[in-house]
Amino acid sequence: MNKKQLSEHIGNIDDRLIQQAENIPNYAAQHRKKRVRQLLATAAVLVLMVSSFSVGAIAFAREIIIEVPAEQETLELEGVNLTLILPESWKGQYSIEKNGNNFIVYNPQIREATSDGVLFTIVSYEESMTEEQFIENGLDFTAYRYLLATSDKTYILHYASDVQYDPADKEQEKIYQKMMSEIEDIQIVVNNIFSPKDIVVAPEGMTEEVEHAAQVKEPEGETPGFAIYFDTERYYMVEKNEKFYIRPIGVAENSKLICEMEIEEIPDVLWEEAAQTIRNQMCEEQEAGKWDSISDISHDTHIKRLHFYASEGTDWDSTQEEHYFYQMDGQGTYHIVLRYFLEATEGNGTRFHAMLDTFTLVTTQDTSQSISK
Amino acid sequence: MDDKIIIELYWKRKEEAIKETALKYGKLCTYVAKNILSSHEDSEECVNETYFAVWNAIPNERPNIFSAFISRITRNLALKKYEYLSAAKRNPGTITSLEELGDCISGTESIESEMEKRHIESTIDKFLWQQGYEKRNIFIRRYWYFDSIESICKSTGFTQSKVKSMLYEMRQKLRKKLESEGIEV
Repeated sequence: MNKKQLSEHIGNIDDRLIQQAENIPNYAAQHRKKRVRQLLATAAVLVLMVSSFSVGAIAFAREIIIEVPAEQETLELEGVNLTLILPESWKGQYSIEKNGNNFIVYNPQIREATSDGVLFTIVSYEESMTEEQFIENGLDFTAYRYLLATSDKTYILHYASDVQYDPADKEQEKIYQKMMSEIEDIQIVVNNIFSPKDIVVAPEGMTEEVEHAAQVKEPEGETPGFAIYFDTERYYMVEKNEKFYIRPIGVAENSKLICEMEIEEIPDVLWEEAAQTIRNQMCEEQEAGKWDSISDISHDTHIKRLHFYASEGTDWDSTQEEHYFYQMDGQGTYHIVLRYFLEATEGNGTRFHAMLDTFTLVTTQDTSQSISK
Repeated sequence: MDDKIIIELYWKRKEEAIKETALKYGKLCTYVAKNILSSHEDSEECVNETYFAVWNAIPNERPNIFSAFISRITRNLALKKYEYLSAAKRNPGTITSLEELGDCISGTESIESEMEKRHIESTIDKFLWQQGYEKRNIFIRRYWYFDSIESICKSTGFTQSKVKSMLYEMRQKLRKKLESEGIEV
């Protein structure tokens, strides 16, 4: 192929790509705005409410993620998906020792002199616990800081429980006390939380494992964002009129055979109210002849969400809609619609369900709520 | 005027369609043409040819995205004209942009069947959809619209080195993608 041929091929790309690139914003300014927002919320970190919508996972497990300034002193915990961001003054003043799945952080100078010097230990518990469950299980035997829980593990920072320096050495005591007082400033980063992952889907009854990549809408202040995984070989995501759509690649946007997932944020409306209002509107449409049937609103038994279904009929090309409602901690609702024609139920419908299972709210929350001493 | 109304005017063979197109998309077409052809006269001629081509094409087609449809015609016409121009009359920016695309290919002209062309174009489409929107748009601005690096930097606020490294990375990835799809580059 020569350059002219390649340029001609590029010339024939999807119209939507050309349209999207017509007016590009000042990305650098957008990035700066984001950074300013992050600076304003100095004590705030992104808290990802993972698993609360996933089958078999506990409700409201927490993972804490933040952006790491490049110049910051960081400590990656080997074999665990975590990085600690340490105070800059700790440079050269700490070491780490791995003990099983736990990590002991200590001051090497004090250890050399006293064989103590432990500042804290990151303990990995082999089950997923909320902070309340952690306390109920009697594990709060030392001062601790609840870090996060994933679907199968809980990470706790345990402070040293006894004197770890020589009380007669005033200089040693001063260094140790200073470092101890700075432990609360340590931030925890979950590495690559949204890295691509293989997801098992079974379109048309045929099981296949497909790599899915995440698209993340970042939270804005108090308003949660979301993350969702989808197969980027087959689908793309676009934003239009403040709604997000995931659609199959290669299908015209105005095709009569609709297949799409629509994600909409409904601010300041509780999920029950949102579901009822939307269902009522659709019932009016049903009276006008659009919908053949609309189900009642139900609570999912295993996931914290509401849903109802609507069908235009049983013809192969009749539109089917599944409406799902996720509550955003009293700040509004995420409304997701899976829309497809009947014959696509086993294909795109199944793939949309696999994506929906990965839908996760991403919210900001003050770390002080999860710190306990 | 809404695109659908303009298209309807073309279908009704009303000359007002051209006037409305020029009013709404004249600037865009001129921009695309000027990015490829440096001369003002050549660009103007190319834009006029675009209107004529749209006039002929539309009764057979109902474009979904009119802006993309019309600017694509301008791009094709400008590139054709570009081939006939002497080196002095070519826009040096276009030459550089095309040169950069050399990273993705061997440079040998290949004979491609219609099916192969469709496969290549759908591979490029897929590749672009898989990129983050910033990289994707910068790539399209550079190799579809033939924007200069300076102009991309001005719009995006990014530094030249950042834009250049993004484009370099995308070209390398595109080459790999084409190869992985069995396309002879």
